[in-house]
Amino acid sequence: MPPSSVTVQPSPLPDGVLLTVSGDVDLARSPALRAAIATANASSPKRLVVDLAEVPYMDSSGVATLVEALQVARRRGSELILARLQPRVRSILEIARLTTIFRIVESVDDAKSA
Amino acid sequence: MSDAIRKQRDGRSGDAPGGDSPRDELWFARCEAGQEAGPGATPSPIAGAPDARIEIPSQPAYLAPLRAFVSALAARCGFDEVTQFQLALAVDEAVANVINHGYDRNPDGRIWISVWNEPEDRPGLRFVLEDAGRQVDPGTIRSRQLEDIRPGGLGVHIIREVMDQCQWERRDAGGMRLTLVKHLAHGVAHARAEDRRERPGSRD
Repeated sequence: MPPSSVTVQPSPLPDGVLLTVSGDVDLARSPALRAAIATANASSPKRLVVDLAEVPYMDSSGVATLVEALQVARRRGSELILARLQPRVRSILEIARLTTIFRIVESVDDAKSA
Repeated sequence: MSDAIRKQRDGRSGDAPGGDSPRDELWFARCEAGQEAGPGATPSPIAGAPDARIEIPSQPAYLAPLRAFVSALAARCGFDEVTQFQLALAVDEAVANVINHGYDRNPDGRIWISVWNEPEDRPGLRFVLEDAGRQVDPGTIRSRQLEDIRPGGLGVHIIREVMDQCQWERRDAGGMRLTLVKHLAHGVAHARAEDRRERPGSRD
Protein backbone atom coordinates (compact mmCIF):
# COMPACT_ATOMS: atom_id res chain seq x y z
CA MET A 1 0.00 0.00 0.00
CA PRO A 2 1.59 3.29 -1.01
CA PRO A 3 1.61 5.92 1.72
CA SER A 4 -0.97 8.62 1.18
CA SER A 5 0.57 12.01 1.16
CA VAL A 6 0.75 15.07 3.29
CA THR A 7 1.50 18.27 1.46
CA VAL A 8 3.57 21.12 2.85
CA GLN A 9 3.43 24.34 0.89
CA PRO A 10 6.06 26.97 1.77
CA SER A 11 5.49 30.65 1.18
CA PRO A 12 7.58 33.65 2.18
CA LEU A 13 6.84 36.02 5.02
CA PRO A 14 8.59 39.38 5.53
CA ASP A 15 10.77 37.88 8.23
CA GLY A 16 10.37 34.19 7.72
CA VAL A 17 8.51 31.31 6.16
CA LEU A 18 4.93 30.11 6.29
CA LEU A 19 4.42 26.36 5.92
CA THR A 20 0.88 25.36 5.03
CA VAL A 21 0.37 21.71 5.89
CA SER A 22 -2.45 19.56 4.55
CA GLY A 23 -3.29 15.97 5.47
CA ASP A 24 -2.89 13.60 8.39
CA VAL A 25 0.54 13.78 10.02
CA ASP A 26 1.31 10.31 11.33
CA LEU A 27 4.27 7.96 11.36
CA ALA A 28 4.03 7.53 7.58
CA ARG A 29 3.87 11.24 6.83
CA SER A 30 5.75 13.06 9.56
CA PRO A 31 9.06 12.62 7.68
CA ALA A 32 7.65 14.85 4.92
CA LEU A 33 6.85 17.57 7.46
CA ARG A 34 10.27 17.18 9.06
CA ALA A 35 11.95 17.55 5.66
CA ALA A 36 9.89 20.64 4.81
CA ILE A 37 10.78 22.27 8.11
CA ALA A 38 14.47 21.49 7.57
CA THR A 39 14.29 23.05 4.10
CA ALA A 40 12.60 26.14 5.50
CA ASN A 41 15.19 26.42 8.26
CA ALA A 42 17.98 26.40 5.68
CA SER A 43 17.22 30.06 4.98
CA SER A 44 17.57 30.87 8.71
CA PRO A 45 14.12 32.46 9.06
CA LYS A 46 13.45 34.62 12.09
CA ARG A 47 9.91 33.30 12.17
CA LEU A 48 8.60 29.91 11.07
CA VAL A 49 4.82 29.69 10.98
CA VAL A 50 3.21 26.27 10.60
CA ASP A 51 -0.41 26.54 9.46
CA LEU A 52 -2.24 23.39 10.57
CA ALA A 53 -5.78 24.33 9.53
CA GLU A 54 -5.90 21.46 7.04
CA VAL A 55 -4.43 18.86 9.40
CA PRO A 56 -7.27 16.80 10.88
CA TYR A 57 -5.03 14.27 12.58
CA MET A 58 -1.61 14.21 14.15
CA ASP A 59 0.02 11.49 16.24
CA SER A 60 3.04 11.61 18.51
CA SER A 61 5.45 11.38 15.58
CA GLY A 62 3.99 14.64 14.27
CA VAL A 63 4.18 16.17 17.73
CA ALA A 64 7.79 15.02 17.97
CA THR A 65 8.51 16.73 14.67
CA LEU A 66 7.11 19.99 16.01
CA VAL A 67 9.02 19.65 19.29
CA GLU A 68 12.20 19.09 17.30
CA ALA A 69 11.45 22.22 15.24
CA LEU A 70 10.87 24.17 18.45
CA GLN A 71 14.22 23.09 19.82
CA VAL A 72 15.96 24.14 16.61
CA ALA A 73 14.20 27.52 16.73
CA ARG A 74 15.24 28.09 20.34
CA ARG A 75 18.85 27.26 19.57
CA ARG A 76 18.84 29.74 16.70
CA GLY A 77 17.00 32.43 18.57
CA SER A 78 14.15 32.32 16.08
CA GLU A 79 10.46 31.70 16.63
CA LEU A 80 8.17 28.79 15.80
CA ILE A 81 4.46 29.57 15.71
CA LEU A 82 1.64 27.07 15.22
CA ALA A 83 -1.47 28.53 13.60
CA ARG A 84 -5.09 27.42 13.25
CA LEU A 85 -4.99 24.08 15.03
CA GLN A 86 -8.04 21.88 14.61
CA PRO A 87 -9.58 20.81 17.94
CA ARG A 88 -8.34 17.23 17.59
CA VAL A 89 -4.77 18.29 16.98
CA ARG A 90 -4.99 20.73 19.85
CA SER A 91 -6.27 17.91 22.06
CA ILE A 92 -3.15 15.85 21.31
CA LEU A 93 -0.97 18.74 22.44
CA GLU A 94 -3.15 19.01 25.54
CA ILE A 95 -2.76 15.29 26.30
CA ALA A 96 1.00 15.72 25.88
CA ARG A 97 0.81 18.90 28.00
CA LEU A 98 2.58 20.90 25.35
CA THR A 99 0.08 23.70 24.75
CA THR A 100 2.04 26.04 26.98
CA ILE A 101 5.33 25.17 25.33
CA PHE A 102 4.29 26.14 21.82
CA ARG A 103 3.15 29.56 20.70
CA ILE A 104 -0.30 28.87 19.24
CA VAL A 105 -2.38 31.47 17.39
CA GLU A 106 -5.83 31.46 15.85
CA SER A 107 -4.99 32.94 12.44
CA VAL A 108 -2.08 33.28 10.07
CA ASP A 109 -2.44 37.05 10.36
CA ASP A 110 -1.97 36.72 14.11
CA ALA A 111 1.16 34.68 13.42
CA LYS A 112 2.54 37.32 11.08
CA SER A 113 2.09 40.06 13.65
CA ALA A 114 2.93 38.01 16.73
CA MET B 1 -17.35 -9.26 33.90
CA SER B 2 -15.69 -10.80 36.91
CA ASP B 3 -12.07 -10.12 37.69
CA ALA B 4 -11.34 -13.81 37.20
CA ILE B 5 -12.77 -13.85 33.70
CA ARG B 6 -11.07 -10.57 32.87
CA LYS B 7 -7.77 -11.94 34.10
CA GLN B 8 -8.15 -15.09 32.04
CA ARG B 9 -9.10 -13.08 28.99
CA ASP B 10 -6.15 -10.73 29.38
CA GLY B 11 -3.75 -13.53 30.01
CA ARG B 12 -4.99 -15.96 27.43
CA SER B 13 -2.26 -17.85 25.73
CA GLY B 14 -1.91 -18.99 22.17
CA ASP B 15 0.41 -19.40 19.27
CA ALA B 16 1.20 -16.57 16.95
CA PRO B 17 -2.28 -15.68 15.72
CA GLY B 18 -1.04 -15.07 12.24
CA GLY B 19 1.13 -18.12 11.98
CA ASP B 20 -0.82 -19.50 9.07
CA SER B 21 -2.63 -16.36 8.11
CA PRO B 22 -2.83 -15.19 4.53
CA ARG B 23 -0.63 -12.40 3.35
CA ASP B 24 -3.44 -10.34 1.96
CA GLU B 25 -2.66 -6.67 2.20
CA LEU B 26 -5.55 -6.05 4.52
CA TRP B 27 -8.44 -8.08 5.68
CA PHE B 28 -11.32 -7.54 7.99
CA ALA B 29 -13.22 -10.28 9.69
CA ARG B 30 -16.52 -9.64 11.38
CA CYS B 31 -17.83 -12.68 13.14
CA GLU B 32 -20.48 -13.61 15.60
CA ALA B 33 -19.40 -14.73 19.03
CA GLY B 34 -18.35 -18.34 19.03
CA GLN B 35 -17.55 -18.49 15.35
CA GLU B 36 -14.08 -18.69 13.93
CA ALA B 37 -12.63 -15.21 13.83
CA GLY B 38 -10.58 -15.72 10.71
CA PRO B 39 -7.46 -17.40 9.45
CA GLY B 40 -4.94 -18.02 12.16
CA ALA B 41 -7.26 -17.02 14.96
CA THR B 42 -6.77 -18.44 18.42
CA PRO B 43 -10.01 -17.63 20.18
CA SER B 44 -9.97 -17.93 23.92
CA PRO B 45 -12.36 -20.48 25.42
CA ILE B 46 -13.29 -17.82 27.95
CA ALA B 47 -13.56 -14.72 25.82
CA GLY B 48 -14.76 -16.40 22.63
CA ALA B 49 -13.86 -15.16 19.21
CA PRO B 50 -13.29 -11.46 18.82
CA ASP B 51 -16.10 -9.38 17.43
CA ALA B 52 -13.74 -7.97 14.83
CA ARG B 53 -10.21 -8.63 13.83
CA ILE B 54 -7.68 -7.04 11.50
CA GLU B 55 -4.19 -8.04 10.44
CA ILE B 56 -1.76 -5.54 9.01
CA PRO B 57 1.89 -5.56 8.02
CA SER B 58 4.33 -3.55 10.10
CA GLN B 59 4.18 -0.60 7.74
CA PRO B 60 3.23 2.98 8.63
CA ALA B 61 1.07 3.27 5.51
CA TYR B 62 -1.48 1.00 7.20
CA LEU B 63 -2.02 3.29 10.14
CA ALA B 64 -4.61 5.43 8.35
CA PRO B 65 -6.94 2.51 7.44
CA LEU B 66 -6.41 1.09 10.92
CA ARG B 67 -7.58 4.38 12.44
CA ALA B 68 -10.68 4.29 10.24
CA PHE B 69 -11.37 0.74 11.43
CA VAL B 70 -11.05 1.68 15.10
CA SER B 71 -13.10 4.86 14.71
CA ALA B 72 -15.91 2.94 13.01
CA LEU B 73 -16.02 0.35 15.80
CA ALA B 74 -15.97 3.08 18.44
CA ALA B 75 -18.83 4.92 16.75
CA ARG B 76 -20.84 1.72 16.55
CA CYS B 77 -20.25 1.11 20.24
CA GLY B 78 -21.63 4.55 21.11
CA PHE B 79 -18.51 6.54 21.87
CA ASP B 80 -18.70 10.25 21.12
CA GLU B 81 -16.63 11.79 18.34
CA VAL B 82 -13.84 12.97 20.61
CA THR B 83 -13.44 9.53 22.14
CA GLN B 84 -13.61 7.86 18.73
CA PHE B 85 -10.69 10.00 17.71
CA GLN B 86 -8.80 9.34 20.93
CA LEU B 87 -9.26 5.58 20.65
CA ALA B 88 -7.96 5.67 17.08
CA LEU B 89 -5.02 7.74 18.33
CA ALA B 90 -4.21 5.31 21.15
CA VAL B 91 -4.29 2.27 18.88
CA ASP B 92 -2.27 4.17 16.26
CA GLU B 93 0.36 4.96 18.89
CA ALA B 94 0.48 1.36 20.09
CA VAL B 95 0.93 0.00 16.57
CA ALA B 96 3.51 2.68 15.74
CA ASN B 97 5.49 1.50 18.77
CA VAL B 98 5.38 -2.07 17.48
CA ILE B 99 6.54 -0.92 14.03
CA ASN B 100 9.37 1.18 15.47
CA HIS B 101 10.54 -0.91 18.39
CA GLY B 102 9.08 -4.40 18.04
CA TYR B 103 10.04 -4.80 14.40
CA ASP B 104 12.72 -2.09 14.11
CA ARG B 105 10.89 -0.72 11.05
CA ASN B 106 11.17 -4.08 9.25
CA PRO B 107 8.14 -3.95 6.93
CA ASP B 108 7.67 -7.74 6.85
CA GLY B 109 6.31 -8.14 10.38
CA ARG B 110 2.66 -8.81 11.13
CA ILE B 111 0.42 -7.14 13.68
CA TRP B 112 -2.93 -8.54 14.77
CA ILE B 113 -5.63 -6.37 16.31
CA SER B 114 -8.62 -8.14 17.85
CA VAL B 115 -11.58 -6.28 19.26
CA TRP B 116 -14.27 -7.37 21.69
CA ASN B 117 -17.35 -5.53 22.83
CA GLU B 118 -17.34 -5.40 26.60
CA PRO B 119 -20.36 -6.83 28.45
CA GLU B 120 -23.59 -4.86 28.50
CA ASP B 121 -23.37 -4.19 32.23
CA ARG B 122 -20.31 -2.06 31.52
CA PRO B 123 -20.16 -1.46 27.77
CA GLY B 124 -17.05 -0.48 25.94
CA LEU B 125 -14.34 -1.90 23.73
CA ARG B 126 -11.41 -4.18 24.42
CA PHE B 127 -8.52 -4.18 21.95
CA VAL B 128 -5.82 -6.83 21.98
CA LEU B 129 -2.78 -6.02 19.85
CA GLU B 130 -0.33 -8.83 19.20
CA ASP B 131 2.93 -9.03 17.33
CA ALA B 132 5.80 -11.41 16.77
CA GLY B 133 8.53 -8.83 17.19
CA ARG B 134 11.13 -8.24 19.86
CA GLN B 135 10.04 -8.92 23.41
CA VAL B 136 10.65 -6.41 26.13
CA ASP B 137 10.14 -6.48 29.88
CA PRO B 138 6.68 -4.95 30.37
CA GLY B 139 8.00 -3.28 33.49
CA THR B 140 10.32 -1.16 31.37
CA ILE B 141 7.50 0.31 29.29
CA ARG B 142 6.95 3.71 30.84
CA SER B 143 5.81 7.15 29.85
CA ARG B 144 8.60 9.64 29.72
CA GLN B 145 8.67 12.63 32.02
CA LEU B 146 6.60 15.30 30.30
CA GLU B 147 8.78 18.00 31.82
CA ASP B 148 11.55 16.68 29.60
CA ILE B 149 10.66 18.49 26.39
CA ARG B 150 12.12 16.40 23.64
CA PRO B 151 10.91 14.62 20.54
CA GLY B 152 9.64 11.08 20.97
CA GLY B 153 8.45 8.98 23.87
CA LEU B 154 4.95 10.41 24.00
CA GLY B 155 3.14 7.37 22.64
CA VAL B 156 2.94 5.44 25.91
CA HIS B 157 1.78 8.56 27.74
CA ILE B 158 -1.00 9.10 25.19
CA ILE B 159 -2.11 5.46 25.44
CA ARG B 160 -2.28 5.61 29.22
CA GLU B 161 -4.12 8.94 29.17
CA VAL B 162 -6.78 7.75 26.72
CA MET B 163 -7.47 4.19 27.86
CA ASP B 164 -9.09 2.97 31.09
CA GLN B 165 -6.82 -0.08 31.17
CA CYS B 166 -3.63 -0.99 29.37
CA GLN B 167 -1.47 -4.01 29.96
CA TRP B 168 1.62 -5.18 28.13
CA GLU B 169 2.76 -8.78 28.39
CA ARG B 170 5.07 -11.16 26.60
CA ARG B 171 3.43 -13.75 24.35
CA ASP B 172 4.44 -17.35 24.87
CA ALA B 173 4.93 -17.72 21.12
CA GLY B 174 7.14 -14.63 20.91
CA GLY B 175 6.38 -10.96 20.54
CA MET B 176 4.19 -8.86 22.77
CA ARG B 177 0.51 -8.54 23.59
CA LEU B 178 -1.08 -5.25 24.57
CA THR B 179 -4.61 -5.18 25.98
CA LEU B 180 -6.44 -1.86 25.88
CA VAL B 181 -9.87 -1.26 27.38
CA LYS B 182 -12.10 1.77 27.16
CA HIS B 183 -15.55 1.90 28.74
CA LEU B 184 -18.39 4.16 27.79
CA ALA B 185 -18.99 6.99 30.21
CA HIS B 186 -21.74 6.07 32.66
CA GLY B 187 -24.30 8.46 31.21
CA VAL B 188 -23.76 7.23 27.67
CA ALA B 189 -23.95 3.59 28.75
CA HIS B 190 -27.21 4.27 30.60
CA ALA B 191 -28.74 6.00 27.57
CA ARG B 192 -27.68 3.11 25.38
CA ALA B 193 -29.31 0.59 27.74
CA GLU B 194 -32.51 2.66 27.78
CA ASP B 195 -32.52 2.78 24.01
CA ARG B 196 -32.22 -1.00 23.86
CA ARG B 197 -35.07 -1.44 26.28
CA GLU B 198 -37.25 0.75 24.08
CA ARG B 199 -36.24 -1.18 20.98
CA PRO B 200 -36.00 -4.79 22.18
CA GLY B 201 -35.75 -6.19 18.67
CA SER B 202 -32.80 -4.05 17.72
CA ARG B 203 -29.28 -5.40 17.53
CA ASP B 204 -25.87 -3.84 17.26
